[in-house]
This record gives sequence, structure tokens and C-alpha cells, in this order.
Amino acid sequence: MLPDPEDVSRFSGWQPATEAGRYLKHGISSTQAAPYHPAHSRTRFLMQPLTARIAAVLLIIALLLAQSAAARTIRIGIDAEFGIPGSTSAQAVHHGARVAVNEINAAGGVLGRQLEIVLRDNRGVPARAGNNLRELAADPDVVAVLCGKYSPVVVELLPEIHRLKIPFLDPWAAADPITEHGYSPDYVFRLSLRDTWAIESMMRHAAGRGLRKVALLLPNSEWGRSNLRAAQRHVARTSGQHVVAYDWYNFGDRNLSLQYGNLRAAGAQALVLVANEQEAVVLVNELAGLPKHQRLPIMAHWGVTAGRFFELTREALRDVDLTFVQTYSFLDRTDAPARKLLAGLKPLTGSDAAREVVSPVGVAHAYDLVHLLARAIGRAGSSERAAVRAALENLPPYQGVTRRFSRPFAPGRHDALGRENVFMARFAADGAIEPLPGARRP
Amino acid sequence: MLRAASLALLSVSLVALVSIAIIYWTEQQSARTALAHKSQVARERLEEPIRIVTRTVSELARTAMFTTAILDSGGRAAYARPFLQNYAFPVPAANGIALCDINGKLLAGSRELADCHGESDEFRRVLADGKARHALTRARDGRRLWTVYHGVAFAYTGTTEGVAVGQLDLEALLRPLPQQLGLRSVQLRRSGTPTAEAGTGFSLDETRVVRLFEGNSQMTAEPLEFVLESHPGALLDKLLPLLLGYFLASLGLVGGVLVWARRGSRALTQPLLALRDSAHGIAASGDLSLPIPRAGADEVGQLAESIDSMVRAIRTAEATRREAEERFRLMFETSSEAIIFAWPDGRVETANSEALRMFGYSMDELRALGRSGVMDVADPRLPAALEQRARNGSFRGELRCRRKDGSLFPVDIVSTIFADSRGELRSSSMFRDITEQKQTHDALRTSLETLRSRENALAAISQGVLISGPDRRITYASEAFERITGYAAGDIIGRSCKLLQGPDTSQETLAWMRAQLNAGDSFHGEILNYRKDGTPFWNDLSITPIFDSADVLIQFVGVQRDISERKKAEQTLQASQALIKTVFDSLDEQIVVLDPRGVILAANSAWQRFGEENGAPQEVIEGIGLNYLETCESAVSSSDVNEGALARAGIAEVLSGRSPQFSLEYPCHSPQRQRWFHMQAITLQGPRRGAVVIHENITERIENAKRLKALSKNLVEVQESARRHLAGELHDRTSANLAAIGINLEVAGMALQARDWQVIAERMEDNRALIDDTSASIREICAELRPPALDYAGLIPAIESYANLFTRRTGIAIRINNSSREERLTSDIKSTLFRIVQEALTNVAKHAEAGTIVIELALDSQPLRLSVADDGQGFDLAVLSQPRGLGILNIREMAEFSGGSFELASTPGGGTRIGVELPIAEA
Repeated sequence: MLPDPEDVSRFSGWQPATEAGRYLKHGISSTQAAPYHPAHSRTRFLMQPLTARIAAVLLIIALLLAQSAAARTIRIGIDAEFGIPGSTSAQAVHHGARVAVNEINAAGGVLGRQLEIVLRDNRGVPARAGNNLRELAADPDVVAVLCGKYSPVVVELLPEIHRLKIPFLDPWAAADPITEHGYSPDYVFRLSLRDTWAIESMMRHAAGRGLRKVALLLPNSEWGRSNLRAAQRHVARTSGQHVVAYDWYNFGDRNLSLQYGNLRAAGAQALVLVANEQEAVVLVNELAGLPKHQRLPIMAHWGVTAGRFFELTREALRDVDLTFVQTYSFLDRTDAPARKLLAGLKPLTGSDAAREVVSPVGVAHAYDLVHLLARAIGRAGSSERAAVRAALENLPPYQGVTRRFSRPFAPGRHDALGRENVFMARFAADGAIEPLPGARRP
Repeated sequence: MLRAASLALLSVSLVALVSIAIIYWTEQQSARTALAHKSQVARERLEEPIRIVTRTVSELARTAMFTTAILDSGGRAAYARPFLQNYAFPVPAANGIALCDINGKLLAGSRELADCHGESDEFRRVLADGKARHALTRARDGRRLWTVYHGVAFAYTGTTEGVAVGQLDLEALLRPLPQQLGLRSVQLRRSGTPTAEAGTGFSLDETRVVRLFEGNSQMTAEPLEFVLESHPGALLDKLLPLLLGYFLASLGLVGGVLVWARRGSRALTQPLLALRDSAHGIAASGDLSLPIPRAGADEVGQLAESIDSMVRAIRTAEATRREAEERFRLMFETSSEAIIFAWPDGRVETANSEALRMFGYSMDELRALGRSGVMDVADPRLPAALEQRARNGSFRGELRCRRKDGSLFPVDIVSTIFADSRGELRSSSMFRDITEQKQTHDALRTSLETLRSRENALAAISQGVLISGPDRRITYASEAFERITGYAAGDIIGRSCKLLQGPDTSQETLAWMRAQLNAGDSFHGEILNYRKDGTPFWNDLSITPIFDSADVLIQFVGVQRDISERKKAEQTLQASQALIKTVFDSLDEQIVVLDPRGVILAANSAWQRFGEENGAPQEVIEGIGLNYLETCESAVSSSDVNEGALARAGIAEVLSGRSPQFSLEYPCHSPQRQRWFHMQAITLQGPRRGAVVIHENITERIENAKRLKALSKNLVEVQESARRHLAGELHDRTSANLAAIGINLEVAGMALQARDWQVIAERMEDNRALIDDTSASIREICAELRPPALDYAGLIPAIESYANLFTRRTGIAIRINNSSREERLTSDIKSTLFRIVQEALTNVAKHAEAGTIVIELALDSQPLRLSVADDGQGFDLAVLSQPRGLGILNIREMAEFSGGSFELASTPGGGTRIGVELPIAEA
């Protein structure tokens, strides 16, 4: 199914940077190899001489017959925040998924059927996500839906997901409640970070640097509240660190100096920042303008990597001590899956350089998720959703890109990654995400 | 009285009507104003809450709480929901606010507002473009609600991701309004809904329709209006007592008017009645002395007075009539004319005593006889007179009457027919015995006729006759006078004679006239008079005073004759004569006119001058009367030929008519100079016989002829000398060379035979040199003759080059001062000037022994000037002999031939200067 033209039209300002994006923009199914050109339209065909025309018509009939004889495609939906300017998370998820789909299709598909990706844009608005989900679920060929980075959306969608009984794969959204919802059977599978681990990592990193007094700057949303709870649990469990203050900001706030001032006034030595790229940019630029002694080191959630943060804070970043959590880095990877993934990225993004991968965690997670899904479909022997869900919970060991999975998902544990996957990273001078030296990596 | 009452009633009702109308109108106005005010208040009370709700919703939609509530369920629950549920609008009628997602699902909202109206068009449109909208919706129980939708935008994308809905219960808003504003009802409806009661005509219910949010289309998608109804009946309450009051007042007024009118009329009628009675009494009895009852000073009194004065007037008229009757009777009786009153048919009624006397009848007799007794029935004029009287009503004329004794006598009758008071036709006739009168009349007529015939005779005279009294005032002007002067006789009778005098009238003549007339003598003379139209004319005037038998001046008789024509002719003749004389005297020639005998009739002033100048005797100078032939005989002859005899003979021939003209040239030298004259005698043309002799002084002509001859001779001489000179030059300068050339050729010929090339070459060389020399000489000669420069380069360069040659040849220095350009000279002038220069220089070279010559040229002056001056020995001008004089003569002649002038100045030892002036003829 093609993307909703109405939705597509809302991309008015968004210029597709990739071929896939172009397909998206012009409403052509992503399985078509050639980019859309009006010249390849039917008019040219009609201008051929009569005999050639008859031959072409017969060919089309044959193809159609062949098409109907062949099995229908299996569709994977990606409903994410494509329409938010400056965001790269959805695109990264899409890339990762596509590389996996290409590989699987090249290997013959699943159950003899080709995989197809269907894209939807929810702009981070739960109501839209709900509409998209309902629409995707109504399509019998859609076997599962991937989401983007917004936790509030997923959290709000939980009842609907379980009402529609459609497998929901989360390659990014990190709020704890996403996999702690109590719905059974559980249709949500996450291969991503959890706020609890993120907070732990960030706090430990601060503690490791001797920063005991920590302040939190949180978004006024489920994500923010989840992180606060995680932080409070963390300081309750450990000693030597405490949260001196925490403050909230709203979506779209353009000025965080007041909150920052309050937090600093409270005596913070480090700032734990939970933010996506928009607010992170604001804060970092503000910080860069402050005198050096007023700049606190920032341990940020991985939202800073979800968009064009580096491009917008390049200068300021030099003056700010910013580190953030990650779960995967392509740098210095020599294993086959990584190389395959990088190679598969090249036709999509134009580059197979590890340092040039944008929002690498999204790419890697989506890639692994799709492969796991394909495996599950194969193991289930059908694309029936309930069967696939069950199969996902019972997959055999799998060497993914992010890690080697002994058992990706299990009943009661729908998070494929673990604490041990989380490490701190920072931006290199060229914008590449470098793990901090000494970060643990599997 | 009734009229008064009805008038009062009418006026009262009019006043009532007007005042009711006014009151009604003012009440209406105030009611309307009050209603308008109330409608304003009502509008505010409706619009303000709506605005408040709208504003609140729009503000909330922009808050972070709302934007976050859309994105985040937790935030929604934590903030938006409790906020909205507990939010109390400042407007009691407001239902509340809800926040809805794009599907129309209520995310959070107030208690009363549970429905997002997500299916409504407005909701969808707000989602589509984010613009706020309003709608009129109905709750389930039928209450009308005002719903406002406002888009909630997502910060990151700017797109509308939710809708904030606000709602207002319009019924709750409307309910308290009537009571608050004191109206009957306030209803809300859509614009354009027809009223239940289409109010036409007079309705005391006042309604007003006000549109909500007039002019603000943003606030309302559908036009809404509310209708206010005011309480009627306020007017009626006022109206009834008013009407009642008017009714009562009018009754009272009418009653009062009636009573008052009645009283008034009675007061009026009483004296009127009295007046009427007395008037009737007077009329009936005819007794004018009956008294008129006096009344007050009001209208009735005035009426009484007027009747009284009328009665008095009648009395006076009666008295006057009686007087007139008496007077008439007296007149009748005492008239010196006979008056008879009769009837048209001839019966006599009465006659006065004069009539009785005139006709000699007694009254009774007259009565018995009637008209026929007094009129001469045989008078043929009588029937016509009677007829005229019958036609025109009166007759006046002469008729014959008969006395008692039978004698007839003429009478002048005036007879009139009139109708008496009863309408009967009567006649009154007045008779006057005109016997005597007639006699006098006839005598008078005769003398008048005589007078008239005399007057006609007078008028027939072609000369104008003007008769005036002794005071010089005109009493009569004849027709001829009118013709001559243009004055009409009627206009000038009584005016002074002086009216004919004018500005140019001779004062001397007038003075003389006055003197004559005052002396009692008559005057005759020519005088310039002026016609009526102002044109002057010459008047041959004679004025004679007329005396009566007592030698008293009674009148002047003046006779005028217009002699203007004659005078004009005279003047013309004089003028022409004068003209001829002027011409005669202007001529230079001496002219005499001879009669056939040879006697001089006229001589012009030239003749007289000549005579005076030459010492002729006085009689000759005067000329007239002298016999010319005899004078010729005795003329002194200056030459051998006896011109005098010749002249005489010739003139005699002409006088006798044998030859038409004779001419003779003769010398008549004076001691000072020689003179020649040409005499011509010509027969007179025309009726008079005689001759004109003209003498013309031809000295100049003769002298010119002589000079011309001399010049021609000179020219021939000059040419000859030039030719000799040229021949000499040519011979001198070339013959030797040519001879040498011949010799060389001979020698060369011989050497040729001997093949002696050397000699040939030598000889040829020699020949070439000789030829060169010869050519040069010839060129020089030509240049001397006429320098080519003169034609090619002009006068100045030619003179300059000639001067150079001259200087080289003679050693005399020449300086040329030229202050002009010579472009405009003809080649003739140029040649002349060049020749003059040549001649002058040659002259200087030959005779002057000068060292320097100065040539001055002024060629662009008019006339152009050339002078050649040398510093040589000069000469005495008085002694100018040949051959020196010849050159100078040549120059003079060349100058004078070209129409110019020549001047020579020289003093012995002081150099010579020749100056020439030539008029420029344009090239």
C-alpha cells in the first residue's frame, strides 16, 4: 500500500535526502527499483507501433497472471515521526529495516513471499499514530508495525495495539512502561534502550567522574516522568549521589535558561538531560554562551542523536561537555553482520562509512528487529499475527548486529537488549558518535 | 353662531389631533431609542461572553499544557484533565472547554462539555487549516449552544494536531435578558428567518432586530440575530386619558363659544334693527329729516354714521338739483339765443322769449304751428339736417328760417335729440340769426382769397422770400426759400433771420448789412449762408425795409438767390487759371503768347527774369502789349546771319497759319559768356488764333557737342600714339633678336651641309637664348599693355606688379596704400583705374622728376577713390600745357567717361596729386 497522499503532501517542506525518501515523496512503492520518472509513463508505451503494443498488452496480462499466481507480499509497517523537521530517527529506522528487507528478499523472501515496507507518518502525535495503526492493522498483509522514538505515542497506543492484536516492534522508544504494561498476550517487542538503564548509565558515569550532585532536566511527558522515576529509584538504591533538583520543560520550549539557572542554583554539579534533539540544541547553545564556570557537564539521554543535533550545535558543542547513552556503535566493527549492514546502507544513504551513519542506534535496532521478525514469520510458517507474535517469543539464538541473542524475546521479557548494551558516547569532531574510551561493549 | 361653534369644535379637534400625533411620535421615538439602547446592551451581554469563551479557548489552545496534552497521555491526565474539569469560566453560561484529538476524541474537558463534535464540518475544517471557527449547535435537549473550535498546533511541525473546543449555552445567556432589560422577550434566530408576525401598519409592539457580531465575519459562520420585543401598552396608557381630556375640553369649549357668540350677536343686532327701521322710514316717507339713531363707535355706529351722511348727501343733492333747475330756467329765459324744446316730429313744447322774439310768435302760436312754422320748409338742406339729427343725435349747421312776417333769414342751428327721464325722445334746438355774420363772413372770404392768390404769386417766385417783422423775426418764408435753405416755413416762423448765418459768414458783409438796414436803406450783397443741414451756400441777398403810411417800419422783405453754383464755377475757373499760370511760370523756357498780329498776350516769369538779367527795357520785361515781331526786327545780332529777320519771317509764317511751327538756333552772347538759344514758334491749337514762342537755352548742349568732338579727336590721337608706341616697342625689342636668329639659322644651314655639328649646336644654342629673350620681351610688352594679373588676380595685384616693374625701370619708389577690397568692381572700372594709374605713373616718370610716388586706393567707399601723389617738381595749375597736359587730360577724361570726377592739385616744387572718384557700379 502506498503512503497516504494526504500525509505525503504534508511533507511539503521536507526534501527527501535518499532514494527511499524520494519514493516516499512521489508515492511509489519502495519495491520498484527505478526512481519515479514521468517519462517512464504509459504514454510512451502508447506511442509504439500497433504490433508492439499488442505484444506489450499480452505481456502485461501474463505478468498479472504471474503476479496473482505468486504469493502476496508480506508487509511491514513503519509508523514513525517522518514529518518532524530535523528528526532523523524515523529515517534511520527505515534504513535499517530496508537493508534487512533487501537482504531477505534477495535471499528469496520469507515463506516464498517478498517483504514490503509500508511507511506512515504520525508526527509524534498519538492520535495520528492510532489512526495509522488502525489503518495498517486493517490491511491483512501487514504482519507487524515498527515505531519511532516517541515514547508517549507508544504508551498511549498500548491499549489499541492489544485491541488490534498486531505485533508492535519498538526499535527506539525508551520509556519503561512500554514493556511494563501488563497486557497479555504482550504484542509489544522492544529491541532498544530502557530509561532505567539509561539513567543508571548516566548517573554512574557522573559518579565515576566524581559528580555527586546531579540535577535532572526532563520533558513534561511520559518519557520525562519515566526517567524521573528511574533516577529516583537509582539514587534510592545507590549511595554517593543524589538528585539535588529536577525541572521540567515542555515540547517546543525555546528557552531553557531559566530551568538551567534553577538547577545550577540548586548546586548541581552535573546535569542529566532527557531531551530530544530540538530542546538539546537549545540548551547546548545557551550553555555555550555562558561563562565557562557556569557550564555543567551534561549527561544526556540518547535523544540528542535522534536528529540533526550535531549540525545545529557544531560550534557550541566544542565548549560543552556532553556525553550521551548509546546501545550500538558501528565504529571499529569488523564482524560480518556489521559489514553487511554497512554495505546494505550504501545504496540507501550513499555511504557505507561507519562514521557517517546517522542515528546509528535506530539503524542497527531496526535491522535486527526485521531479521528477527522474518525469522519468526518463517518459524511460524505463516504471516498470521498471533502466530508471529508467539514465534517472536520463541526464537532460537541469533547473531544480530547489536549483539548475539541467545533468546531475543521471552514471555515476560520483551526487551531484547540488556543493561550491558548501554554505554556512554560523545560526538567526534566530524559528527560521528564515538563511544567513550573505556566503554564496555559486548 | 352655529358656525362659530363648529369652528371651535374643528379647531379643538385639530389641536387634539396634532398634539396626539406629536405625543405619539415622541413616544415612539423615545421607545425606539430606549429599545436601541437595550438592544446594544443585549448585544453586549450576548457577544461579550462569547468573546470571552473564544478568547479563553484560543489562549488555552496555545498553552504548553494543551500542546503537551495532545502528545502525552500522562501529561494530559496530570494537568489538562484536572485543569479543565475544574476550570470555572467567568461566564456562567459557559459550558466549558474540551481538548480533542484529531479523531474527535475528547482527551480532556470540562464536566458539562463531553462532546467534541468531531464529526462537524467546523471541526474538520479547523483540523485542516488550523483557523478557529464557530458554530451554532444544538444540545440533545434542544438548547442552542455556541461552539468555538480552535486548533492546537504542534510546536515541532506547526501542524494542527488537536482541537480545543469551547461551548456556551445561549439559552442561559438569553434567559435573564428580558427581565434585566425590561423587555417582553429576547429571541435568537438565524438571520433571514421571517418574522412570525409580518408587521405592517400601525403596531404598538416595538421590535428590534440586531445582528450578532455585525461586521465581524470571523466570529460567526452563520448570520445570527436576536429580536427584542418591548412592552407595548405604554403608549395606550397615555393615550386614553389624553383623549378623554380632549373630549371634555372640547365640550366645554364649544359650550362656552356658543354662549359667548349668542351674547355677542345680540349686542350686535339691536342697533342694527333700529337703524334698519329708521332707514325704511326715510325711504318710505321721503322725509329726509327723520333722525338716524345713534349707536356706539363700533361697526354699527359707523354704519349709522354712514347712513346719516348718505341722507345728508341726498339732501344736499336735492338742494343742488333745485338750484340747477332754477339756473337753467333763468338761462333759458335770458338766453340771447332762441331755444325751442320740441318733439322730433315737430311739435313744439316750449320756447324761450328770445325765440318768440326772433320768430315773432307768441308761445301759443308757436305751439300751434310747430316746427314748420319756423323753418323754411323749402330749404333743401332741411331734410338732410333732420336725417343727420336722427342718425347722429344732433345737427349743427346753417338753415333758413321764416319769421312770422314771412321774411327768411339764415340761422345757425344746433339741434339735439335726447331722451328725457321718461324715455321719450325730445329735441332742443338753438337758433342764432347769422345774417350779419354771413355778410361779414363773405367779405372776409373775398379778401382772404385775394390774399391767398397773392401769396401763391409770391411763392411762385424762384427766389426765396423771407419776410420778417421789425424785430427781425420771421413771419413768412416762401416755398423757394424752403427749397434753397432746407428750412420748413412752419419751423422758422418767429425765429430770427440770423439763423442763416454761420461760422464762415463774412463779418464785414454782416456789419455793412446791419449798417444799411439800421439806416433805413436796403441792402444787397453776396453773403455766405448756411442751410438747415449745415452746408454753406452763397446767397445773393437783398433786404428791403417796408414802411407803413406813417413811415413806421413794419417789416423787412428779404430776397435770397443761391449763387453757389456760379461761385463754384468762378472759383474753378480761377483755380484752373492759377494752375495754368503756375505751370506757365515754372518753365525755364521763356514763353510768350502772341495774338494773330504778333502782340504779346502773355509772358511767363522766365521771360521777365531773362529780360531783367539782360538789361532789357521795361516794356520788354513786362512783355504784354508789346509787338514781338517788331522786337525781333530790332534785335541785335551776334553773328553774321541776321537772325532777327529770320525769326520775324518765321514767326509771321506761323501766325498766319501757313506753317504750323518754326524753329531757329541763334547765338546770344553775353559779355561774360557765349550763349546759344533755340527758338520755336507754334500755332495755338483751339479756337483762339495766335502763336506760342518758346526760347530755350541750349548753350550747354552746344558746348557738350564741342567737347565730345574734342574728346573723339583726342581718343583717335591717343589710340594712334599707343599704336606707335606698341609698334616701336615691338620693333625695338624684337627685330634685332629676330634678325640674329635668322643669321644663326643661315649659318646653321651652311654648317649642316658641311656636317659641322659643333657649329650647328652653337648656333642652335644661341638661337634658343635669343628666342628666350624675345619671348621675355614680348611678355613684357603684353604685360605693359594689359597685365594678366588684372584679370586673374584683380586690380590691386596688377597695380602692385606694375608698380614693381615701374620701380625697376625708373628707380622711383612706389608705396601703395590700400584700404579696401576690390571684389565688387566691374572689369571696366578695374581697367579704367589701372589705366589711370598707368597714365599717372607714366606722367610722373616723364615730367615730375619725383623720388617717391604714393598711390592710395579706397575701393569700397561710394564713390571709390584713387589718388596718385608724387613728390616731384610740380607745376602751376594755371599753366597746363601740352604734352604734360595731355596725360592729365587723358586721366580726366577717363574718369569723367566713367561717370566720375577728377581733381588735380599741384604746386611748383611741392609735388603733384591726382585724385579720381568713380561711382561704383556693382559687378
